[in-house]
Amino acid sequence: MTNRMQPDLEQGLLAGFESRNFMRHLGVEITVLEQGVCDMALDHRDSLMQHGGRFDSAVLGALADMAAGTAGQTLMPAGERCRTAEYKLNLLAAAEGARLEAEARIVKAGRTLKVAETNVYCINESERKHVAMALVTLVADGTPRQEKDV
Amino acid sequence: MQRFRPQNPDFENTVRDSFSRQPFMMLVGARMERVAPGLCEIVLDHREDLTQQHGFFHGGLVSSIADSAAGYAAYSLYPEESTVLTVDLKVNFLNPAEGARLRARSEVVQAGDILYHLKADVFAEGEGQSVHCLTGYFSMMCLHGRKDTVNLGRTGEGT
Repeated sequence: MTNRMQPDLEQGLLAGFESRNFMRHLGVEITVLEQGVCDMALDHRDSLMQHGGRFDSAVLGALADMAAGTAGQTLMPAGERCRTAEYKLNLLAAAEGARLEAEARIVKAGRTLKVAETNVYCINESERKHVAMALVTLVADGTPRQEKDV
Repeated sequence: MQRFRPQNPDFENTVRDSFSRQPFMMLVGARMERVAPGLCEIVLDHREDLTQQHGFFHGGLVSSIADSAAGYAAYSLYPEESTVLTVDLKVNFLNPAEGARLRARSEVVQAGDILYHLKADVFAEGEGQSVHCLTGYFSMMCLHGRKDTVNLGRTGEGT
């Protein structure tokens, strides 16, 4: 699933992103957007750090969730949205560095439910360290219940 | 996949021996296939008494073989005198587990001192097809200094 998105769908998605105040507040940028794929990045800011100069785990969770949701959104028909039902975040290593990069991929795209995986990396001078992984369940928002859906 | 260096030079025998002492895996007929540093595969042939009401493999069992594969993928990297216990797991069922055989495959993502993080996937195989039916995350604890052959539960020597 590495196809480019239809331009109008992509524009709509990016416009929707602009209205997401929390992610703007964090300073998140989209770096890759394709069908079933979303990469995001976030630069170091003091207000995002916990004691000891690491990115707070809540920031890692928010970034992982946002990238997963946006990857899911790329597979939704125009005008329909998906939302997060739940996610599980594993924190693998301390996120000490200048920048976070999240890579979200849709693992399964059902009509009602989608499953995404996001890997989060922290960039510092010498390495790109794998710091978190999240497994995210997304549910189509506001679509009528269908008997055929399982 | 990442390359890991096993701490126990005899890790494969250690892992296979431990698996052979799991009564539940015996009960359901699960077999251990591939073992490598930080990796384990377990297969399970279809049996009617392992299915749920729609004829699919029961979800709890699909999770169980993923859990077992994850536990032994982690254990393959543990020191000689240690044993393994699952701390947590989260799985998503992606497709019905329907087919002649299930194959669970797990790999270590991050090896710590006490906690190991793993991914596991289960595929339903049959008629030349392989369908991805489960993906999940597992955390495994390394109990240093505890023998795997001493039964923690039945001897009352648990933590």
